[in-house]
Amino acid sequence: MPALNTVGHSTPRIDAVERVTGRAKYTNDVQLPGMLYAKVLRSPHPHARIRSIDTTRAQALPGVKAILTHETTPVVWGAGGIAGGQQYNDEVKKITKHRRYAFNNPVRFVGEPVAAVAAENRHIAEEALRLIAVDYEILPFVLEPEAALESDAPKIWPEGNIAVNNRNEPLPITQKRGDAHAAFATAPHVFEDRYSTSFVHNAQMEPRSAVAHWDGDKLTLYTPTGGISNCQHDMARDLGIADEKVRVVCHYMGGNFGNKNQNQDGDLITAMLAKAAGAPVKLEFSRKDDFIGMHGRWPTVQYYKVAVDNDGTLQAVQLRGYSGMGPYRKNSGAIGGIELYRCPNVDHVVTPVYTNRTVSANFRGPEFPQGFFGIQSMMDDVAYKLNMDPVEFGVKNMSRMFRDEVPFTNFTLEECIRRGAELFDWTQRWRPLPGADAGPIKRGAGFTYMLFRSGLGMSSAVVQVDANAKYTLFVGVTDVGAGAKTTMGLIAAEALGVPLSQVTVVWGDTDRCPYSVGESGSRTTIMTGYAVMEAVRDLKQQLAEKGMPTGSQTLVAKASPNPRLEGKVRNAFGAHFVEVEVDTELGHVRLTKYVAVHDSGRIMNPLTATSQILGAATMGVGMALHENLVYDQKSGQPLSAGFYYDRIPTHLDAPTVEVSFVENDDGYGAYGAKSIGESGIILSPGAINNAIFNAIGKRLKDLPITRDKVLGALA
Amino acid sequence: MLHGMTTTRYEAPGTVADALSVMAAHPGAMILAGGTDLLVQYQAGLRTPSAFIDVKRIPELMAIEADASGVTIGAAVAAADICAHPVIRAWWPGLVDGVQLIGSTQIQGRGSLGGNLCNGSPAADATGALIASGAVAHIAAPSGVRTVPVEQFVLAPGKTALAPGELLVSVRLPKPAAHTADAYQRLIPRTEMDIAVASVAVSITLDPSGLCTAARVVIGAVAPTPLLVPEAGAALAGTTLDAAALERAALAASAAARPIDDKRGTVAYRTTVVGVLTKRVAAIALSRAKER
Ligand SMILES: Cc1cc2nc3c(=O)[nH]c(=O)nc-3n(C[C@H](O)[C@H](O)[C@H](O)COP(=O)(O)OP(=O)(O)OC[C@H]3O[C@@H](n4cnc5c(N)ncnc54)[C@H](O)[C@@H]3O)c2cc1C
Repeated sequence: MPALNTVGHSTPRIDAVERVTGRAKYTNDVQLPGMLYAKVLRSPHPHARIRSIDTTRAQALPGVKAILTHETTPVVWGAGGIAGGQQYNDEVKKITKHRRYAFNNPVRFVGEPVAAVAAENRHIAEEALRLIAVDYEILPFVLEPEAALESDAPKIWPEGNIAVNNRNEPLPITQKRGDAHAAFATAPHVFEDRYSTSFVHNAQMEPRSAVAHWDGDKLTLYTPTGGISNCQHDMARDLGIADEKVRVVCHYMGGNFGNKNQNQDGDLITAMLAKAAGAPVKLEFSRKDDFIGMHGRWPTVQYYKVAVDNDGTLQAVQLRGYSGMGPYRKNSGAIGGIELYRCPNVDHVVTPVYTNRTVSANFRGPEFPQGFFGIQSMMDDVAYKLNMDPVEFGVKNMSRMFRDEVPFTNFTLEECIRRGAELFDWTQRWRPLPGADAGPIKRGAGFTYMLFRSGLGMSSAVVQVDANAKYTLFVGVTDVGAGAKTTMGLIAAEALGVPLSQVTVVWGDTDRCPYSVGESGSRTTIMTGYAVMEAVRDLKQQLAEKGMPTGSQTLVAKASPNPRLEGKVRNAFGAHFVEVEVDTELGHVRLTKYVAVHDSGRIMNPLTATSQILGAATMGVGMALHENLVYDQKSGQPLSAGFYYDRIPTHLDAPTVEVSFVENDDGYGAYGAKSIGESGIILSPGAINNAIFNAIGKRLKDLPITRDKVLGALA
Repeated sequence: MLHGMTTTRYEAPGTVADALSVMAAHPGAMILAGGTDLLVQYQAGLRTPSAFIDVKRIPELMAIEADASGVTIGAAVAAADICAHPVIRAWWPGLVDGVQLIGSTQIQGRGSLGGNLCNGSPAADATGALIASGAVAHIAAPSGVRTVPVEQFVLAPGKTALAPGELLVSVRLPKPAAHTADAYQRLIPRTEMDIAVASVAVSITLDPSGLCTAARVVIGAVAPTPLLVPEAGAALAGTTLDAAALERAALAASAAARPIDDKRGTVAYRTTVVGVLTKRVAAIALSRAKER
């Protein structure tokens, strides 16, 4: 793979100075003349019908300018439900039964918006919330997905608690090949087990906020979003106006991790308050609002059944999985993992279920960390039971083609695993006999591997040059944290053959930038990056034909490519190796070595790529050992909302991660770039769990692996 | 958070006497030291004082005085100043173990010893070591000054021996006897910025031959208040802190624990680990005492 001039060299982010000096303007820094402040009243009940809402006392409070409730504002929040893994559109909106409004009646989880107020200042807005009298009829509730499927469970929707897809069908997600049932009957070894994962909040640094103002019939919305184009379209659809009547602006944002894609109910509420009040409005969530009002990762229960031959060859895998979605199906609720294994017989049935908890939806690698934890703990266990080294078992049984059918554009999984084992010193650190260390502090090693989608798709970019050879790149990215502004600049500079300093990047404003795919699914570099390359190609052609512009002229090129793969699947690959030290008297788990090897194609910016893996692996540590939005089973109240109660990892909890990239260029995407942002989190929970097993000889099965669970397993 | 349109007074008296009269004039007022407990509780709507009485302008509350027989630590002295004090570091390494665990660098710049004690938490990280070393609290009351041993200071979660209108002025630690040392450890769900699920402070005194002549064991976060466990101390006294003695002390500590189940730890877990910590902390105190 030949080296390039600009792409591939460690480059500080082009907005780093603004960010660290506090000059960067985030949404909550936006101040507009005459701006009002909004607050949202949230349901204190997990499930209740609103008999009546009396806002007269709040209306009478001086300084209150607008109040919205489900009675005054029956607006559907399209992206908030019934996505079913697909984009919500007008057709779906028309037929959908399980509509999610900005304000719903009944309310179906603690924290669901009931009313919103805009007032001259925050204190008045808060006081007004206290003056709103809501008469609730308390309804029975259910918190856990399996319990919600019992015949006598309270019904969250009249049709029942299986979450419906966007055709209103209560169908599980299934995948079948071969005949697993027959294989279980004849295979020499069959193993069964149950694993579970918890609700983990995205815990992005910046809580959600929005500022909206209307100029006549045109809305300007400042909001932290990973996709200004999606957000614009969603807002227009929900408000029933044309796309060009909505301008979305996001210059800086403090993290996304999946819960700032598309538009959010806070955006809609702010826009509607601004309309009702006839003045700009700002809404800022508290951390608690953000924890219970926004979504997190769907919790899962996973029942596996696995058949293997005497030589350790997989014969069949069966999964019966249940995902707790909260009361709306904002995203798929799938459980990934089957695709990691070559296996002739697969029977995979995952049921997304409504519950009266905070909504679950996409969070960094939506369905994978849960599923990879489950299936890779399961397979690790099978390897030990067959007296095989888990690494050898993995290499023997890993997929070499997508679903054993479709070839990958390139395949480096084995190389990732072998390199990781070597860097980690697997043969030295792994204990053939689990729990063999003497004394109360025991060490052990574990590993997991992954594949992750890196598909191609449509996006666009505009590039322009003036008479002074100043290049301006217009891209609809916002930079969720993965450095998109800088990456787009690097790609443009590379394609133009000029230094990065000669390229000005304009981002984050739908009035100035062309459509861009949202910054989710680790796809911006692949898709928008490729559009940048195409726009530059066009510009260079124009330059060749017309020469450099003169005077006040500019040359402009736009590209909206929609490349496709024929007969191939494009994936990123990776393997993580973890060593832990378990204090078997206190149950404490410490990470003593962590090696992460990834094939993410060509690495655009090693500095950012490495920090993506570090950050993601650390998030995975939180999921593995700490985080869980705990609910009181009796009252249905969330008990652990917030960074403190949820035990988000601190710097001292973060492992030192040694990152290594297996680089290559398969000829697709921007210079061969593949996905990277989500990959790092997918592997850590399973790798940590497998290392704990190797250290103590006991298999933990339920996330998070808190210390009392470790002691419980040892007791 | 301002509660609606109501406002809260702020007073900053310069003497203990003035502080007492401001308190008398504002029933429902609360003392403000570093504010790292109080302001968080206030913003969460858990406390609604009629006034804040900031005590950081009162010299006695802001001073550390060391003399031949001990050290007096002003109630509002910040954790960072305590940890930096050479005499405290030399005589009570276990107190420093605890104080330096409080929050973060930022929190330690403001959070005080008095605040840690008066907040009345069973999990407070400074309280255990104070009790282990036999510290006493100096309290200013309208009727004069009174002293209370620290082990009698915390009565229930959030409730202390202070009567309304009283003020903690300082804490006095008597100079440790020869061959005496203390130690403190806590267990938290994550590695920093957390509240103890269980904690243990131990102070032991050895005779010149290395035999333990006296021991005080205090357990935290496993009962409504920090608990001095005399049975655990008795299990160590008269021994060389051999494995059997440590085991007996651990059993006594676990037996004395009366923890609750909460989202940070279960009853069974807390009961077990407070015993494990007792052994480990006693061993640290022993090695420190041997160096004296
Ligand atoms: C992020 C964070 C992390 C924390 N981590 C820890 C930790 O690890 N361990 C730990 O133990 N604590 C921790 N705390 C709690 C807190 O920081 C400590 O308890 C600290 O010692 C409190 O001191 P302060 O001066 O800030 O008290 P303040 O908040 O000022 O006061 C606390 C209480 O004591 C009363 N009070 C204070 N001084 C007096 C006085 N002289 N007389 C009478 N009453 C008085 C106040 O009225 C109030 O009720 C943490 C707090 C935060 C915000």
